Amino acid sequence: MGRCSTLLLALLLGVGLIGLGLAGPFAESVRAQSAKAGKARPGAKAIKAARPDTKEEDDQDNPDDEEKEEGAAAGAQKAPTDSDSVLGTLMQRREAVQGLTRRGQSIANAPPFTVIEREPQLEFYPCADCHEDQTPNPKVRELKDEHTSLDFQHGGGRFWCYDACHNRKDMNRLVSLHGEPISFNEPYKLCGQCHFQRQKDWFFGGHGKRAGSFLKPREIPAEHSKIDFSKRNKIGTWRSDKRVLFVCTQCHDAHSPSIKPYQPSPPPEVRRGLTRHEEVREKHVTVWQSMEPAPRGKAK
Amino acid sequence: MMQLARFFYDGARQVFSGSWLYRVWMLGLGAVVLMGGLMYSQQLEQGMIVTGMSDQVSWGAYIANFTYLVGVAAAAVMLVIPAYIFNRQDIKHIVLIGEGIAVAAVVMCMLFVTVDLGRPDRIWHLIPLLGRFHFPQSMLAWDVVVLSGYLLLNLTIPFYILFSRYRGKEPDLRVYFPGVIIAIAWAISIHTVTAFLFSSNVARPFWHTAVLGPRFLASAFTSGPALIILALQLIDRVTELKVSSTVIDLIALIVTISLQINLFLLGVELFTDFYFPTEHSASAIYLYTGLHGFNALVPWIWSAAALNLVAVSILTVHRWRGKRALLNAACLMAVVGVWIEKGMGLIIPGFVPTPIGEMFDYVPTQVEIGVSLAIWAIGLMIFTVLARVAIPIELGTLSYAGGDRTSGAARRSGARGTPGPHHPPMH
Amino acid sequence: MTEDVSTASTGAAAISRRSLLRKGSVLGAVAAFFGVGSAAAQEAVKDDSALADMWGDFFQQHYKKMSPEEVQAAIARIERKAKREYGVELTVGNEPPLEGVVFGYALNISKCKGVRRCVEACMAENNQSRDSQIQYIRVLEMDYGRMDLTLADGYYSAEAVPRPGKFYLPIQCMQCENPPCVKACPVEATWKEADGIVVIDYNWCIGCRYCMTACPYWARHFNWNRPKVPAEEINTDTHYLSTRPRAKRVMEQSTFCLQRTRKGRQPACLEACPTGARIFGNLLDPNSDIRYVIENKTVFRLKEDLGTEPKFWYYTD
Repeated sequence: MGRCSTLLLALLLGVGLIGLGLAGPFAESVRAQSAKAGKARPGAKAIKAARPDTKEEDDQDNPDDEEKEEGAAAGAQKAPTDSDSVLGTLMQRREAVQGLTRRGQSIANAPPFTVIEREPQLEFYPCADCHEDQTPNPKVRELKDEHTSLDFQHGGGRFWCYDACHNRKDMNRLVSLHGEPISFNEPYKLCGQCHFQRQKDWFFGGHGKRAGSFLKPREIPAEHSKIDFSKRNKIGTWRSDKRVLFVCTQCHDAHSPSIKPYQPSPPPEVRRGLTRHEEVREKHVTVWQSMEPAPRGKAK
Repeated sequence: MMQLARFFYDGARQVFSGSWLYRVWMLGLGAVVLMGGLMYSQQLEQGMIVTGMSDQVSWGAYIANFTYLVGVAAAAVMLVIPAYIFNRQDIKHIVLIGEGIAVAAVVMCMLFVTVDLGRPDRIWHLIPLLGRFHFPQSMLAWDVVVLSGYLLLNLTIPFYILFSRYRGKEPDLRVYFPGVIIAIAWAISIHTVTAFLFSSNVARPFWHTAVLGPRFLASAFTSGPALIILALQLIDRVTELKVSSTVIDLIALIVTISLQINLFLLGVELFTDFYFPTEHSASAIYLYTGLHGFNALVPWIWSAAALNLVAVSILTVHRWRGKRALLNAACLMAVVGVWIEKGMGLIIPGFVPTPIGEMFDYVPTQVEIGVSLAIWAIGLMIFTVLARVAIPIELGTLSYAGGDRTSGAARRSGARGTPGPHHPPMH
Repeated sequence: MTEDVSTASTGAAAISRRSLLRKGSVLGAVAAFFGVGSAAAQEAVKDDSALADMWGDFFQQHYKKMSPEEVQAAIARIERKAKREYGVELTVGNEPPLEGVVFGYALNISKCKGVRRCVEACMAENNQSRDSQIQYIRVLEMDYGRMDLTLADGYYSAEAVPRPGKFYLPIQCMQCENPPCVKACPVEATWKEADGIVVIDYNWCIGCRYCMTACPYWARHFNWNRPKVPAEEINTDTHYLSTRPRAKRVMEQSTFCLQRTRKGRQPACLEACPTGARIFGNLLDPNSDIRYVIENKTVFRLKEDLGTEPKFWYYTD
């Protein structure tokens, strides 16, 4: 049991740390493996792209030089601790299954991207403005004075603020399971610790949305109304070399992440001059609806 | 050259003179054409929005009539084969009538397709070299080729024969026989190609069946000759040309066998659709029983089934088929039955449900009915005009040498039949 | 079933126009026969009156046969017409397919909630006729446990979606690699471009609607009358082969917004989707989103058994 959870933790951490952009020994190892798979792109690009201080506009001027600097800086800033290297060794001995796509790419091979920053969009940011002098209260309770609109559905209510996400030492940041601070602009590093499959999809473009929409996803009103199409010319691109992504929290409310119901836009009409009469359809009855349910306990 | 000019002059004189019955007939048809023309101008003006067609059911009465009439056109071959291949003199005597029907039917086909076009002003895009003719990929391009070719064949061969007779010469078999052979193959091909026009659509499981081609031919050889039987009796009654009852007997036999085969093929289709109904049976279910509350075609198809069954019963029993009144009733029923089965009963359900499962009923509008009637009227006019010129030449009363002699030594052969209905049914 | 559709006649002007057009068809055939059709069109272009434009339209050659100058003249005619009819300044682009690009689309049906914002955005982007109610995307609502299109409902309306027990399947032009519509067209008015997008020359289509019959995805739509879009709703950023104002009584279908995508932008339906169910990209680029989805998700294509090779994949996760 203990061994199992250690391995799992190692995996999670591994994925998270690669996301963090550490040019450490195990990032090297993952890269080496993907290089073995033969189709790898230079991992450094993703590291650079996922760097903490990403801007909306990707600066493409001199990528190689910059990458080296960034890599070095990141390495210096967050040198791996002893426990990290132990996990790293474990990682090296394993096939990095979770990190690889079917083509053998790891997240480090994901095409470069920049993100739309969340911090300027946050209502109460910087958090420390209020929280500066307060001692964090880890007690699970009903919030009566502030943040009263929050709906704590995430994980079926099993998390409290500081359990997995918010950084009680630095209120302006989030925190990884390992205690590393994470910017509000890069929540994917946090979320990906559990939702690593989604995170992988997101890194490669299989999940989430690219920036440049008529509206930001959560700004599309739930009630049907005309979308503001005036912005239709200020939009994003499908190209894989110029990706600007929305981060997780742009679409998902971190406290209640499921996408809320929308009122659908109106149904189609038939052309002028014709009318369509309603279809008469028998309600679809499934096999299990048409038969008696199996008696309790006997069903295998 | 002089002879040619005289030929056309005499022909025109024939067309623009005649009994009061003839004049009333032509004027009546003219009135229908005028009415349809006005409706067509409305369609041009406002767009096809005045039809009952929609994105769901995108072809309607026009294409249904087109499909039916291609069959009628092809059916002329059922007179050409006994006349020229088996050298039946009694048929040879009236084969030009069959070819006249073919010409009228092909012209109607072309008109029906033209009125169905959204942009008839761009029809020149179909002309090879000038436009971009998508041949041989597009089945519609094939249809254009076979229909115009068939029209050409059915104009040139009878023209040669008639013009020879007009000049008092016997037409040279060696000249027109190759044309006849080509025309026979061509007649089969026009209807096969028209069937392929539909059965080539993978998107429409109702049509996407190999038996559609044979079914088209069988139904064509039912309804076309049935129309010819009615037309011949009418001609026998109102003109000098007398039709031998052996001719009617032979054509009646052709109608009988074709209708039997047609119903057999229909049964084969129905078995496939209904023994173990799949998603591909949805159109057939819609047609015969209605689906999800949509049942516009159900009364039509059951009427067609009843008409065809009664017709085939009458025709199959020798004694009944021999009775002219019963035969005529059966022919009328077969004509109408096949028209429903192959027109509305074949084209419309192909679109319902749509390829993504939407149910939508189609009902033709007044404009569509009016324009369709007008095209039928044009067809009848063409046939009348052709017959009006061809019959006196055939009888020898109209010739270059003799000019226009009224009546005379018509080559009477065989007994006169009981008069049939007054004119072919129009829809 | 059928309502009265008679509208006020557009008057004598239209009628004379029509009769001109009819005469035109005879003259046109003759002129074109002598190979002067395009020259006549060119001649007509120098004069920018409505009548001259109409003649220019009539003689206009197939898009692929026109010289660059003729295309520019055709575009100028479209822009003038839009100015006359709608009072809007139109930009009609003529961007060719991008090198090394073949577009593909993927749709995550487990993410699609049936919101239909894609339909709305499509209508706002593509200048479809409001009379003919042309919508390129049809979102089908289906019961859990089955995917029978004939039992699906494309007309659902609800207070909120997704409705319990239902899932949603949007259907639009699949940009088939082996498109039946292209094969069916008798005049080559529709063809597949180098970037895999099936396009229609609205000035060449004769309106026979055979492509509509041939399409297994019900993606093709017809302008049943003269297309009308409220002037204030017109999207002025158009392309000759997609969004430009349509001719009356011709076909049209989704082009994956080629007026946008050929400039590197994303299709409108994708941008409007609030759930991120839509993925678009270059199939030839191994790093594209679409390639990732195809290579890492279990995908399926609609009616693949027909051999049309659609470039529109559905997947779930």
